[in-house]
Amino acid sequence: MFEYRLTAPLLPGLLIFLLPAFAAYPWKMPIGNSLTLPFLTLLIILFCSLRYPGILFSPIVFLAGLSCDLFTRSPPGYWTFLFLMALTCARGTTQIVEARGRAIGWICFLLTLVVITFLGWVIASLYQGHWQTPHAMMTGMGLALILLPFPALLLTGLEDRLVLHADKKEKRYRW
Amino acid sequence: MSGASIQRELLAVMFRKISSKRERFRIRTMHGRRPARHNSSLRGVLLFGLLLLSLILLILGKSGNRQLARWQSTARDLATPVLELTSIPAGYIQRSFDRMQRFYDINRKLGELQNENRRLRAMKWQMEKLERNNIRLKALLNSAREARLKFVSGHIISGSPGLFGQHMLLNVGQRDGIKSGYAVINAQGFIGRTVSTGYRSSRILLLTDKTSRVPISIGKQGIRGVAVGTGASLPKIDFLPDHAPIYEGDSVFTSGHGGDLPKGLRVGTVKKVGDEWYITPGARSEGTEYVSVLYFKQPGLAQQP
Repeated sequence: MFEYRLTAPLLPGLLIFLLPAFAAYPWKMPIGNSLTLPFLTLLIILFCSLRYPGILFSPIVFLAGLSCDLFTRSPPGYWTFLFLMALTCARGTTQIVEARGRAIGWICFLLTLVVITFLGWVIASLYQGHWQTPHAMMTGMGLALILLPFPALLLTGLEDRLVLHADKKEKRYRW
Repeated sequence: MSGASIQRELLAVMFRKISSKRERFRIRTMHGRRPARHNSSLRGVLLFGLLLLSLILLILGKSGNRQLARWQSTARDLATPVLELTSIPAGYIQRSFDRMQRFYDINRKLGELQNENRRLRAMKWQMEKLERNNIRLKALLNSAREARLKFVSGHIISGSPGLFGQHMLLNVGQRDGIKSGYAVINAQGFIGRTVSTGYRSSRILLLTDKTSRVPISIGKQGIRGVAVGTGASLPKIDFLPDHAPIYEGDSVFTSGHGGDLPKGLRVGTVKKVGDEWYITPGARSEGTEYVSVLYFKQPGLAQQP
């Protein structure tokens, strides 16, 4: 259990700090869209917060947002706000997910995603002073959704491994 | 109460405690979910405070707060080693994909290159002849010799077109003698100019950015105009004389007017879209890894900060 507690927040924490740094690289691939990797970070925050509530602390998410703003040359506070909004939405829907099951969880996940993408588009438009074409945001989000299974598999794989280990210990100490 | 009933009561309490502990443990391990904590309201307040702080940062950024800009510049400088570090694996992935793509393109390109090589060989002797003529004519005119351009090459550590302008971050800065306003080129031509410099990094404003304005000359007649960034891939040509004789495919170069940029840097070719004239940039900023910054100081003009 100790290993789980220690390592569980480490991987998502590392991922949400590393991905924005990779977003800064001038990619020639479709992920070169400067929004894909920040959106993927947002998806990881949402995914982790819904699946493992309490694993990501808001100050960590805040710092990850600031670094994302810095690396993607976005105005300070832009990705920070969106990441924190994702965390807020996830915290609000956790109880619904726990009560209603996984299918409802995925619906909540997608709904939250749509709301945050829309919010991001509105803030970007207000900041620039004119309506942005939503094309770039939708492409970024679409590509991030396609890429999500990779970090998700990594996270769930780690969970399975650690939980299995914890279960063995539980059996040993079972009354 | 008898001793036996007290014992039973104690056992019941202990069993309830153990059950609830085991239940909490089961929930935590099987579903990875932790039971609600009592300090959730405190965490809510913290989250709300951080949301508010990020909004304040957004507003300060929009209002152009100088202190915030200074912090950003310092943070960017501090982040440069991190970006350089992440660019190593990212570069490796990118190069692997490039190699795969190149493998598919190689046959098609081979034929094209052979044709181009033949054409270039034919052009070479013409160039040499023209160069000799040029030297002779310049000597006859007694014209002033243009300054040789010095440059420093750097590695792009961050940059791809985004929602908030088209910028790139370069790993050379004030310590390499870079100042704001210097032209930045790659092998294909002009890509932008430096707009802000830190000690070891500088930000490049790309030709395609909405705020970019570059004086240009078009075609063999050297018609003057201004390349205006549109935020999209094609900059627009503005301030053209009426009925200017320009045609699609004409070459576009920097004109050097205004004294900010050197003359004759290749910008791209003319393209007509509807009734408007645009430039297809010769140098693609996407995927560019290395660029050169030209030290350029026009004699007689005030030096840039």
